Amino acid sequence: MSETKKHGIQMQHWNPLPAKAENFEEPSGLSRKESLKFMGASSALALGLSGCKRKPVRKIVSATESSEVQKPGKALYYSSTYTEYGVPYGIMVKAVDGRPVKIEGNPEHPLNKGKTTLQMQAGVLSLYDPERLQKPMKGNTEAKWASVDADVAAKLKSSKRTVIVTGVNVGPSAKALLKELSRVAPNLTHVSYDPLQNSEAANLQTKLFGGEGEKVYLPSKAKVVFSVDADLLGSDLRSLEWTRDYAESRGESGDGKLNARWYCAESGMTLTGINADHRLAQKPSNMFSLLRAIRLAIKGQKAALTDY
Amino acid sequence: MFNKAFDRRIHIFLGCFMASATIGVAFGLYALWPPNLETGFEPQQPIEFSHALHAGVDRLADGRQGMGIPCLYCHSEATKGPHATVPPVDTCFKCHSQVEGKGPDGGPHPEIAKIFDAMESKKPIEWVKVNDVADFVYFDHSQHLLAGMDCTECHGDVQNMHRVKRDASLKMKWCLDCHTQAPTEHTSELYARQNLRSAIHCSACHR
Repeated sequence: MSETKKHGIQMQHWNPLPAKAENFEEPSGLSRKESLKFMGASSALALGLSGCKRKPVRKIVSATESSEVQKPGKALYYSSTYTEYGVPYGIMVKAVDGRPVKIEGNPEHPLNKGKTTLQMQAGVLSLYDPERLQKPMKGNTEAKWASVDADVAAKLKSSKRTVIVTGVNVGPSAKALLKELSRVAPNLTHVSYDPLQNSEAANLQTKLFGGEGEKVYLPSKAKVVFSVDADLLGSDLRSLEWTRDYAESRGESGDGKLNARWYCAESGMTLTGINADHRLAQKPSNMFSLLRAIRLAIKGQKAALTDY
Repeated sequence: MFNKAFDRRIHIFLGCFMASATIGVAFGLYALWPPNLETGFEPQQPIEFSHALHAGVDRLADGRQGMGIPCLYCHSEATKGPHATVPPVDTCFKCHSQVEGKGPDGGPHPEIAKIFDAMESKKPIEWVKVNDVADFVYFDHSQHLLAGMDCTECHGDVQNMHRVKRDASLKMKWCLDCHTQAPTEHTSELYARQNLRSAIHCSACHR
């Protein structure tokens, strides 16, 4: 380090860097500037060539046989079902020129009464998913139906036991097919499974209230709805029914009174909490104590509610 | 201008610029004005169907009399939806199951034979679309027919065409020539009674 005094300011000069590092090599090829220029020019060319397309000559291909119902450009509505979390909801599919474009609820279906969930609305996209199976496949290669059928038949004949896994809600036509299959397939076992279903709730409801299967609640008939750490209007598996009835029940009845009063005890803010008339913020660990205190209060020990 | 090296680079740059501009203009002319969207487009169709013979009322040059079939007999969806539709093959078959026609060599007519082929093989006929508009335009035939317009106003004198020819430009400027005017004596009673005007807001056609 050399020191100089200039204008009264002490300056320190560090040792200058060597002219070239020992193992320094000149980079070959294009410099950075030139390579950037080339990249810009080639991308502009590529975009220009691919973006602009001449409109090709269009063909009009009408059917060989005219149909009384299927008219070009006119929508046809088909009723169908969409099984969500093991529950078959009724939907109406709007199809234009044979292509479904929109899903709405079937107003005559007793479960959803014309309403749909997010998954049902997005379900129309699954029909056009580019990764959907379009042809029978064996492993990763395309196969023909005939060969697939032959393979499955051969395996069925040579096996000792067959297990079929279906979703939870198997309709009458599927049931009939399974019955036919059990006649030819040896030792057929049918497993119903849905990765997302309310089986625990259904079992508990059967234990408490009897009857089989899951119960559907109608808050419009209730005076009080109390949700304890249950996002009934949001993430609950039955949120369609809850939300629909909530919307109907919150309207004014003839005498100007609200039909049901909603209470909510939860930790994080949910749709249910924000729509409830009264919300109690509780830690998740406190929920059980809260329920126990309420049970005691109902039995007469109101003091239990003050500390739990 | 300044020195040889700089001049050389400027000339190279200008040369590249002019070349790309020429290519751009040529490509633009190629891409933006395809013949299938211009007046005068008269393509050959898979079947040499003559509107002059079927829809016309005059006597043709070879002596045959035009049959005067109304437009909506075949293009029946024009009043019902956005597309006027080219009829399916069985509309042709309605008459031609009986009408064999005679070809120039005395045998069965080759064009009519194509109808039979289509009906048997269930393969539809791929007609070339003559009166096509750009993909970003939505045109609804039924609205225009309900307003009282006649087919010839836009499609020209189809009754006297052997091969269908694009008569009008069908471009936006041409559409606006009519859309900016008040209703005429053609306008249907439905529209006149409700004092409806033809739409000139953008989303009427550019949906």
